[in-house]
Amino acid sequence: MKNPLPLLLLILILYGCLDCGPQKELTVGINFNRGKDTLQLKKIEAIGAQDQQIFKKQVEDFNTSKPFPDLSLPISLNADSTTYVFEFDNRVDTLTLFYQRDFHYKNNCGFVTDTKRPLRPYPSKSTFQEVDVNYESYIKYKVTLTGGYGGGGITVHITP
Amino acid sequence: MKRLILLVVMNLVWVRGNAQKIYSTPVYLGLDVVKGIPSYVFPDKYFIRNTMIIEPYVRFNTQKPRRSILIGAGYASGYSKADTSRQISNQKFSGVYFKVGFEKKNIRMPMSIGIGPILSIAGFKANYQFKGPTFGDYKATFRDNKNLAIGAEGYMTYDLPLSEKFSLRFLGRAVVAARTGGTISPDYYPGIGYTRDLQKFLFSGGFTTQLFFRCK
Repeated sequence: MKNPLPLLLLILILYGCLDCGPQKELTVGINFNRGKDTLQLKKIEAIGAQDQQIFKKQVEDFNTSKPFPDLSLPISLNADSTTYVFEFDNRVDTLTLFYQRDFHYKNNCGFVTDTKRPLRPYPSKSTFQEVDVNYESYIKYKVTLTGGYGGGGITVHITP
Repeated sequence: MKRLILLVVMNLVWVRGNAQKIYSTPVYLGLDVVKGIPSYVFPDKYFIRNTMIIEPYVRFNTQKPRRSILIGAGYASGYSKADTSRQISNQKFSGVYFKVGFEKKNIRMPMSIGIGPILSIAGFKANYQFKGPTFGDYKATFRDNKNLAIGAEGYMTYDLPLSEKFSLRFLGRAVVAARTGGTISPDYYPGIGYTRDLQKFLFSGGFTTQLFFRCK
């Protein structure tokens, strides 16, 4: 190779890549296995939320995407659980998610927030038929030029 | 027993004999009279707020011509400038520091240059927050008390005599230091200066004025 400088630069850039992690309110990804069910969502509310605006958009997304709608709902950083109320046209369901909050300082980033699986035996409480909660760190464990690995955070699969 | 007393006396004589070689008169006592003032006069514009800085000095000449030694200690306690756009909007800091300067005086002008080690022990306290548009902001307090920084300070001075006993010293300084512990990036490190966004290695500098009193 005549000029190794670009390669060295690329290695330096990749080596220097660091995922600080989230420094804002976290969200959980909720996937509904609606199947043949034609549930229409009227409203989502979160207990203790000061602003319910974000949930209106999620309701629209739910009603326009079939059969496996994905929602992205914020969780409270002020408590170790968040409770959502899903109001459908013919039923009302609740989902309480439990988690351990983790706030720590990261060099060159500042304070970052993350969650862990709760210590309690059941990570959620719900009136839905089946709820499966997966916990992953919100901080990527490997960063690449195309994105990275990990950092998925909390994901929930619901069968109504 | 007589031998022991003789040995002690001989030692004291030797120490005193050598002590005379370490310094010669005059001896100056000094105090930094500027560092903390802008933080009270311009609390919203200056990089520190309501900060008390006490920095006394002792300066004496050595046996070598135009050479002197400055020994200083300091205490600083106050707040960094508030910036609500940052995750840590401001920090409370306090610390003590010690420094020694080895000076050389200019032969034609009342100017000196000096360099010497600095050691600073500091603690920080602040609130940090995460914006929570839906559930409200999360706010918490942290303390970072295990901070030790060791480095070197270089400076250049101009001495202005006010009277036979008093003189003002205008000083420009630059400091480099390394932290042996501590977590957060300090906005202001006592004894070192403005260090915002610096983590392990600290660099700072500035200008100040000191008042010196000639003792003998």
